[in-house]
Amino acid sequence: MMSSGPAVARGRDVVVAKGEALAWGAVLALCAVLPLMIGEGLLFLVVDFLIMALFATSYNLLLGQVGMLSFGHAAYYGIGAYTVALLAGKAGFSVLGGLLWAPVAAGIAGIVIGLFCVQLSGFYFSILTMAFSQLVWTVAFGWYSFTGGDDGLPVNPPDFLLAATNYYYVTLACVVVAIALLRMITRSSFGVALAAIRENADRAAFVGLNVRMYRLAAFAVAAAFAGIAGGLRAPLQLMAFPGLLYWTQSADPVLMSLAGGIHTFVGPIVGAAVFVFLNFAITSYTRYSLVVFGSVVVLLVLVLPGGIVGFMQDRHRGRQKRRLGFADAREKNSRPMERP
Amino acid sequence: MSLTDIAAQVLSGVSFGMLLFMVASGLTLIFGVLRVANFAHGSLYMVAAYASYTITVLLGGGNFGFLAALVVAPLLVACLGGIVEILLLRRIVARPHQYQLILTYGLTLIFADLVRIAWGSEFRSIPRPPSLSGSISLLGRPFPTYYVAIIAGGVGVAIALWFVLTRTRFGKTVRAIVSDREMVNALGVNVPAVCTLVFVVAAWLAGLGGVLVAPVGSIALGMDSSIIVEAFAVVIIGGVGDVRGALLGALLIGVLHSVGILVAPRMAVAFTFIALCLVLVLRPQGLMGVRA
Repeated sequence: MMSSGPAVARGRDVVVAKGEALAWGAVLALCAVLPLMIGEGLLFLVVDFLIMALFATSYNLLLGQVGMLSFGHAAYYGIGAYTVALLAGKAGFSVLGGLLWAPVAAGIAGIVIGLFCVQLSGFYFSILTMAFSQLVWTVAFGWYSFTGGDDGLPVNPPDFLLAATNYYYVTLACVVVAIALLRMITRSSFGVALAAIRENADRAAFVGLNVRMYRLAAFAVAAAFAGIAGGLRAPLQLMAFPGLLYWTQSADPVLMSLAGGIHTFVGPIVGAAVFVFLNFAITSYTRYSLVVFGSVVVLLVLVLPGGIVGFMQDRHRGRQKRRLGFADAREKNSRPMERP
Repeated sequence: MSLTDIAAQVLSGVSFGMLLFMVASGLTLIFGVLRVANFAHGSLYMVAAYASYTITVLLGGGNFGFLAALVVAPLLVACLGGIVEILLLRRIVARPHQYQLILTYGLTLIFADLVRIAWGSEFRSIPRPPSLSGSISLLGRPFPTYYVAIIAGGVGVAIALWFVLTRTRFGKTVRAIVSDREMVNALGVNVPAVCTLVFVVAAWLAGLGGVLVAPVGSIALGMDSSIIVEAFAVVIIGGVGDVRGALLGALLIGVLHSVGILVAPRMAVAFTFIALCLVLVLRPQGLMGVRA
């Protein structure tokens, strides 16, 4: 698992360490045979999880890697969905064809909106991202003739995609490739530069990094990958609808990343799994999932600031230190400083 | 569209702006004093609206029922705010600001569902109190008395806040904390207690807004989301921590909103966001704020 320290310091000069490759391989093998093991309903749930995992991982490029708390990430997710729906509905594209353009449209939106947002930082940045996202929502909601307004835009996938197993494999392929690309990005010198900006933007500027350009690039890349997730969402729901753009949708990747832990690459994926499957479990038992959800969120913030993965890493590190005989097993400085 | 129509619309925008001011003034004080962006502020507003529904239903919809709601509901919500501050927000004071945002967002979810459990998902509404349900003649056309009452209420709140913040010792302490919290702490002031009190007062104000809006709009789930986004916009446009800015921003947004409805009914909400984007790009410290 990657921690946010540079890869160089850990003595690895391969993209993925051997132990990690085995772990990922095992997970992929499991994913490949999953349709043989579970029924259609659960399979659609896993598709939901895959989409949200990509959405959250793309978001963590902003939050965990660069330290930018965006509250408007749903805009690019929604734009991806609407791109697929519009291209399919109005321009006769196939769903898969539209999927190729989803990240392009979302990425362009990311550049345009990011251009304004990266001028600010902290709370103002967060609110501006939310404001732009709401603007996009307003357009989608109000422009009935183009976007179908509140009714949304229907998406008609070809017959072979309607089967759960087929759509699962398509989604799996897209998400695996996208997450692998994101992994490479976080490990590249670009990703390390972003981490440097997160730790100390002034110092990074002194070293010669153009902080704004890097932030803008990260914003656009994160937007593009969120667009892929949205593009996969539209055929799943058989429509693109304004709710995908609303600010409450933007909260999902934030919560998932925080739950799983923003300091590692897999944290958001773990968080997405927790949320998707927990939500399913909760809604099976009660209509009032938000109370449970909200309470989980509140508890997470109060008790597990590093998220689930962070908590487990701390425990692991604590055990290691005890094993090695260190007097103080609780090392507070072993993780990079969080941005104030 | 005659001039009097536009004037009437602007005035109803002022009335909406006053409601927004009640919510936003508390929000900006919380932000300035506690350095927390309280997403749950909209939830408090919503709880007050629903509570006033229950109170007026219990006491029969007349003047007395509304008056009782006006007294009880904001107090209820103020207590709720106090509990939230003492039990939850105090524990995360030292954390980075994203966690505080996330915590208050989680609270929004909890409150939303609690309201749904208590009152169900249907729209509720309460009638305007009889003595305020008429209309006065304004520029030769009728204008609802209730809106005038809201404007009067807003002016009263503004005056009261101005008095407390500028003429009382407590108000000076609050303004000092907004400027330099550490210094005030070092001077021996019990900053956490002041923070709790500010949060409680802010919650009370949000509650007041919620009660006043109950007879005008529909009391529905989702009113928390819509008001909090507008309130945040007002806080930013006015300048964080500045109550005069909140008043200015609220009136601006209220009027923009009403004019927007005249000009482009489906996209009226966009005007608020365009204004917010403009302010954030051109003058991020807000109309009344100081450059950090």
